[in-house]
Amino acid sequence: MSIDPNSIDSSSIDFNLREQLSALADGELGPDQTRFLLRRLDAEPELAACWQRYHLARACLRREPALLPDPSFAAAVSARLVDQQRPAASRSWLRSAAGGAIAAGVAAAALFAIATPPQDAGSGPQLSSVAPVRTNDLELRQPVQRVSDRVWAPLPVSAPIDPQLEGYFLRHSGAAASAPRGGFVPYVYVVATPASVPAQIPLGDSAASPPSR
Amino acid sequence: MSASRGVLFVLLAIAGPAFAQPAQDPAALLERMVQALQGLEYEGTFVYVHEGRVDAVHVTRTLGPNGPMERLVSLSGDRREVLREPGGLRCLTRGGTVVASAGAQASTLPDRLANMAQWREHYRMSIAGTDRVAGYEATVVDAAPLDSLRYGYRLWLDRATGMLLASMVREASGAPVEQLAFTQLRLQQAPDGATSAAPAAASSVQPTTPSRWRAAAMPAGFTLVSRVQAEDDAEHLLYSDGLASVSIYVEPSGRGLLGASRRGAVNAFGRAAEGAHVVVIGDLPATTVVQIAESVSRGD
Amino acid sequence: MGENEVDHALVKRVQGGERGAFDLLVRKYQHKVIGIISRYVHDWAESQDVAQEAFVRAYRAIGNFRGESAFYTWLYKIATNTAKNWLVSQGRRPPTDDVQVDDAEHLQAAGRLRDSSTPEREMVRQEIEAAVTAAVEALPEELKLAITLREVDGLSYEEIAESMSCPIGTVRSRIFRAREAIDLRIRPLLSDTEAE
Repeated sequence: MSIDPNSIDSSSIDFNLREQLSALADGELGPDQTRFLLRRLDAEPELAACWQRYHLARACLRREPALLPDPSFAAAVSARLVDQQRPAASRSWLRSAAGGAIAAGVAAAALFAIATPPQDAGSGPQLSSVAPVRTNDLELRQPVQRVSDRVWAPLPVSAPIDPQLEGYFLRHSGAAASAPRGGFVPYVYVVATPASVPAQIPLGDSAASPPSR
Repeated sequence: MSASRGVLFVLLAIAGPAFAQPAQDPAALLERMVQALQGLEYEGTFVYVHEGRVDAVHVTRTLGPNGPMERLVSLSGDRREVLREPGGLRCLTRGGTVVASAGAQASTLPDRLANMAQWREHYRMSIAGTDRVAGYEATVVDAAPLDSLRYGYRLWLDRATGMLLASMVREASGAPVEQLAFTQLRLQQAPDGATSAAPAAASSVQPTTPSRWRAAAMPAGFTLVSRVQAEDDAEHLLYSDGLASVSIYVEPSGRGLLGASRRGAVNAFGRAAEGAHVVVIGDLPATTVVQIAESVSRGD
Repeated sequence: MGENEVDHALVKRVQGGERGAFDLLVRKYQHKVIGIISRYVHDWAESQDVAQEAFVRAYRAIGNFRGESAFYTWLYKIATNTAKNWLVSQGRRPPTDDVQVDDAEHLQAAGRLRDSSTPEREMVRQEIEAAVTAAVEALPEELKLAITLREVDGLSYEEIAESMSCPIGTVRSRIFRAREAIDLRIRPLLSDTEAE
C-alpha cells in the first residue's frame, strides 16, 4: 500500500506511527506492520492515547452514545492485569505424546559415544567406529575412549527464559521453514531445552562449556 | 575449535560400505525431501543431540484446507511446546504459558529453490550410502561445504518418499554440531482438500526501493530471497545459499539481542549499528554470523 | 478486513501473550462497556470499578474466545454478567429483561445513562461531539467524503478507492489526515482530563 509521498512529513516518526495506527483502526494494516506497531506501543504511551481518541471520534461520527470514561480507565485495567497469568490460547489440537515415549525413543536408538576427532581442517567427516552402547534407560555408560566429565549437560532447571531471544529464534524458524533444512526442523531448536542460559558465548572460545550453575 | 568439547553422541554411522546408487542425483533427492517435508502428514518421535544434551521431541504435522499445522513437544528437559497454526501464527509455550509468538511469516523461502546449480558451487554433494532409520530404508546424502564459512550436512532420506529421517550438521572440519534422528515415525499422504501452502500474508509491504542496508561479508552463494519492510524502517532480509538460510533483522534502535547466542547449529548475533539494531541469525557457524553482522551497514 | 477482523487479530495477539493488544481493545471498547454497566450501576465511581472488572474477566477468559462471534458480542455478554453479579453481591436483583445489544444502545440514546455522569463530564462530552462535527465540516471535500464513507458507511479502503476513483494509498492517507484534523480539535478538550 503506497502512500502519497508528497503529503507526508516523514521527518517525524510519531507521524508515521500514528498513520499506521489509523490504518490499524480500520483493519487495513498488514500483519508484519501490525506486529512492529504493537511492539512500539510499550515505548510510546501517546500512541495508545491516540488510538483511544480515534475511537472516541468514531463514536461521535457514528452518533453512538459515548460516555466519557475516566482518563485513567485503561491504565487502571492494565494495573489490575499485572498479577494475572497470561491467557492460554485455545487449542483444539492433538493430545500430547505420552511421556513414556522418551524411554522408548531413547532405548530404540543405538547410541554411539566417540571422542571428538582430532582437528584436521578440510579432511571431511571422521566417524570412528566404536561399538554401539545400547541403553534401556537414560543413564548412559561411559565409553572407553577419551571422555570429559561432562557427558550429559545438566538441565538448567530454573533457567530464566528470555522472551525476546526466543522470539528471534521463533521468527527466523518461520522464515526458514521452506528450506531444505526446513519443515519442522527449524522449530526443533526453539522447542529443545537450551544447553546453557542464553547469554554471551565468548566467541574466541566456542569450546567453552555451558556456564556452571 | 572444538578439540576439548568432550564426548559427543553420534546416533548413526553408515551401516555398511558406501556404494553409489546409479542415477541418483543428490540435488534431486534433496528437492524430493523438501516436497516430503511440506506435503506429507507425519507423527513421530526423534532424538536431538546438541551442545552436550540429548533431547527427545515429539512432532506432529497435519494438513488442512487452510494450510499446515505443526506441533512439537519436548519430551525431555524444559517443558516446551511449539505450535504452528494454519494461519501462520507460531507460539512457544513453556509449562503451559506462552513465552513468545510470531505472526504469519510474510517472507519465506520459495517452495522450490531455483538455484540448485548454485549448491554445487559451494557444496560438494554426494550419495554417501544407505542406512536404516526408524524402520525405514534410507539413502544418505552428503553436502560438504567448499569453504569454512558454512556447515556441512548429512541427510538420511526415506527411499520411498524422500522424507527426512535423520540429519547431521557438522563444521567444515567435520566435527558434528547437531544431530537429529527419528526413532519412531508414521507417514501418510495428505487428505483430499488439504494444502501445504500457508495462506499468503495479507498486505505485507512490498518495498519499492532496494534496501539501504548491505552486508558486505555475506558468504558467496547467499542471495537475497525475500525482504519485508515496515514503515518505521524495520526490515527483515532473508538470504539463502540453497541449503542454509540467514536472516538479518534491522530494527529501530532500542532493546534487542546484544552479543552472541546459539541453539544447536543456529547462531545469532546482535549489535547496534548506525542508529539501528541489527540481529543476524542463521544456520551458520558463529564466526560467520558475527562477520556478517559486523559488516551490515547503510549503503548510502 | 473489517472491524471484526481487527478485533480477532488483536485477540489472537492477546492469546499469544501480548498485553499491549489487550490495552488497545480496552481503549476501543471502554466507552461502550461503561455504557452497558451504567444501565445497571448508577453511581459513576462504582460503574468505573465494575467496568474495569468486566475487562479483567474478559482477559482471563480470552483463551476461550475462538472467533465464532464478533468480539464485541462476546465482550457484551461478559459485561452484562459482571454487572448482574455485582448487583447480586449488593443484595439487589438485576433487571429481568435481557436486552439485545442493539436495543441497549437505543436505550442509552434515550439519555438514561447520562444520569450516572457528572455534569462537568457531560459538558466535556457535548463539547467533544461539537468539536468533531465542526472539524469534519471544515475538511476539504475529498477528506470529508473519505472519512464519512469509512466511519459512517463502514466501507473498506478498497471500496472507498473504487467509489472515489483513486488509489487505496490515497484513501488511507486521506482518512489519516481527516483523523489528524479531528484529533487536533479534540485533543485540547481531553488534555486536562487525561493524566498519562
